[in-house]
Amino acid sequence: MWDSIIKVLGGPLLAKLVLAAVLIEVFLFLRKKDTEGAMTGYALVSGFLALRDVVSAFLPNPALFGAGDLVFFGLLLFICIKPFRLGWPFWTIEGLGLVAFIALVLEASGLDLGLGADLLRLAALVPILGLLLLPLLFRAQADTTARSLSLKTWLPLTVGSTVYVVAGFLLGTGQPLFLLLVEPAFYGLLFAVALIFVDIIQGQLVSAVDYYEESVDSLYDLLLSTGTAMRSETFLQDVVDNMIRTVVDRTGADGGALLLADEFEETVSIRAICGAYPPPFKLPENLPKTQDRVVSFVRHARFKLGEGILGEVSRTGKHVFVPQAGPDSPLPDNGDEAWLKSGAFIASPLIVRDRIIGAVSVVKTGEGSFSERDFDRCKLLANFGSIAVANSFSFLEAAERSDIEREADIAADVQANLVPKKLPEVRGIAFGVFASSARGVCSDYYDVIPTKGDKAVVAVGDVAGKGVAASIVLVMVRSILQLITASTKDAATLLQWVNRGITGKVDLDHYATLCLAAVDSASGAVELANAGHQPAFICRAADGNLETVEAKSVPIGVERGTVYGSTRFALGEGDILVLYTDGIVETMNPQGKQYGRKNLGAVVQRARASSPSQIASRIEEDLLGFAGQTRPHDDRTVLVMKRSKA
Amino acid sequence: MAPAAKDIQVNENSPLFEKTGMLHKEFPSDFRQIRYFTLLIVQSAPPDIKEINLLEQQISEVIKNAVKHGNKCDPEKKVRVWYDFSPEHAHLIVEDEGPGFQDLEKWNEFNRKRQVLLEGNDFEALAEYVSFRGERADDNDGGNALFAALEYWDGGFVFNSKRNVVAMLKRFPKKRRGVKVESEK
Repeated sequence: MWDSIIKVLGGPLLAKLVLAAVLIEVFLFLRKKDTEGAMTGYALVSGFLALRDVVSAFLPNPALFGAGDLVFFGLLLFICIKPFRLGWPFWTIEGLGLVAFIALVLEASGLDLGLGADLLRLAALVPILGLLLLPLLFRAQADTTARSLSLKTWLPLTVGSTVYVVAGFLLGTGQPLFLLLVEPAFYGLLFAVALIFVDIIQGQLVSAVDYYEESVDSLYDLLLSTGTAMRSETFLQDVVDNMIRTVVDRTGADGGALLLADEFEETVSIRAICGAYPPPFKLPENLPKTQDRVVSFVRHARFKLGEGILGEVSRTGKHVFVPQAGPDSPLPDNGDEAWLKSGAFIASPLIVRDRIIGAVSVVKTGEGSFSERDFDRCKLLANFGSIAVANSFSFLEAAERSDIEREADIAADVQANLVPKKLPEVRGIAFGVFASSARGVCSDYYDVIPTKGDKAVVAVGDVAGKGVAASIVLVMVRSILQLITASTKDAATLLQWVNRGITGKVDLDHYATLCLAAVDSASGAVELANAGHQPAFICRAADGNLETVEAKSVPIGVERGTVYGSTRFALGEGDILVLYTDGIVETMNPQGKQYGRKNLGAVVQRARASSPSQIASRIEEDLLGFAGQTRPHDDRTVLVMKRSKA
Repeated sequence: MAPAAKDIQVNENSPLFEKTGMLHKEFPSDFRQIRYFTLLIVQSAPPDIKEINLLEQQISEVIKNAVKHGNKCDPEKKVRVWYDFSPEHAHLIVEDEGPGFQDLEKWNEFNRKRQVLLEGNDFEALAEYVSFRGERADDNDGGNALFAALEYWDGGFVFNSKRNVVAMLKRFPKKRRGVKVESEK
């Protein structure tokens, strides 16, 4: 027993086991890069080979050795064919192998079948010949790693295995030449399989790197073309034009179209066309089939969601891939003209988050075809392009908002520059003002213009309209007022002059209410002229009595020849005159009630002993308390004047 | 089949007459100032409303109707307007002190016939239905303002029982960017 062990260990078995162990380790290592199980299979057959050699070393029976070979080559054939379809040719060969295996096992057990163990061992050639089926049946199918491996290894495996089996038959499996040369060389064949696998993986990596380099290049093109478009004024159109051009170019298509979802309807419209784009939808029967008319029709085509192939992509968000023209193509037949015939077709949705904002589609005319790579490229560019398009939308909205804000800012600036920074000093009259602009409106105006001696003209006005248009009228009113108040004319005449200066002079709406009070502080005489403005009121110092000064009149700007009247009255010492705009009395509270003249008068009455600026502050406090969180919808101005000791 | 023509409705209980929270102004019946009154009202509309000129025009027409046909331009009679705007809607109630729109049924009938002729492409007969002119209409009345109003005020155009108050609602479609991806059924 020990002698036999020593003899076996002194032979080639140990070297073969070391080789087998290294092989198993190599295949197990490569398993990490293999998702289809081929390396696991090779590790198992390497293990089986080692087991077969161990058994043969202790039980040197040629028939048993041959049975082991048969199992080994049967497994090898299974590994090579499995990535493809295991059809009847495979099972026939494996059946024949099984018959030979049973015969060899019977021979090994001492039953003489009269065929001879050596001859039976040639049955191992049956599965080896099965390997020859590979290139015949599956030549064009190297589309996975395992299939590529089978198609690249069938020839060395067939040749090497045949040499191994024939050498064993001719030399005898116990001969030193077979044991020391043929068998180790056969192990080397399995090393070759591992190297071919590494080569395939390496090739795939290089190919993937090439693909991603191309993808990065195409994305760079896309972002460059869509990004720089944002500089121009028609940038949304430029963005979509550049995007479809890049997609067509990078997919090798003959033409393409980009569609965007419409803003207010459940439709998508073609917004950009590039190259030759045979319509992938049914043209109306009554449309003349001339190239100009069809191109024009396609350029403005609109689809309901779900209508036709483009409407369907825009509804479902699913890609459509028609690699080449054929009877299975879902594209309609619009006629026999070459420029109407679509060949290959790809459509990809433009999706941002969970919203479909449009779609791109590219076509190849005639017999041209798209590959999977072209399809992947289209999907990639659609994904990134949709972000560029969405950014354009955001940019447009921001620009629109910015225009509105800018106009509001300009109007606010103009108004702020028109009203006095500080009310002028007029001997015998003190002033107080509360003025607040509503964002974007900026239509109220107030001023105190000292004239001669102790006289001044006080103005409070409100232009109809808002924003920059209202500001222009404000500027005009102020300019005319500043010019004419130096005259000795009465307030009614001044108002008529302002009206004549404004009405019909410019081609824009120019209505404004204006209240002018010409005040002589020495005597307390006031002449008040009103053009459609809110009635002024007087609060008498002695008893707090409120008197309304109302005059029916039309605003400035209605008719050039309007004649305004005036009301004359006197202010005693401590008497208060209040001028205000409609924004004050129409301020709403959260319950929808207007502030009204009654509340305004009540505040003035209560605060009549205070200075005009303190009264204005009281009005502000009371008004803001009344309005609460309600958004002001109009400018609010109140000007308070009080006659003091001259 | 021709679509049913829109009618001017009479419904005292229409929710469009609810005035809570609406801004309010009243004007004298001065035809010269209609543009001015319109500007005062539209002034409170948010800048987001895109077709502001069309809104102005439609508001001007209803105020014109109230001043001219309702109050007969009597300066002693007032026109009261309640209004409320947002980027999504414009709601207006206009009240005059006149006898009310007595030809309302006639107008609806006229409009129905006009619609049938329009749908039937009967342009010869349609010539008789170009504009509605009540008994008191003058040469300055186009007779078409109400057709446009009914189209424009798509949320309703309703009179009270006395027909001297009309409430109307316009909905502004909200801009959408894209379509929500349908989930798998």
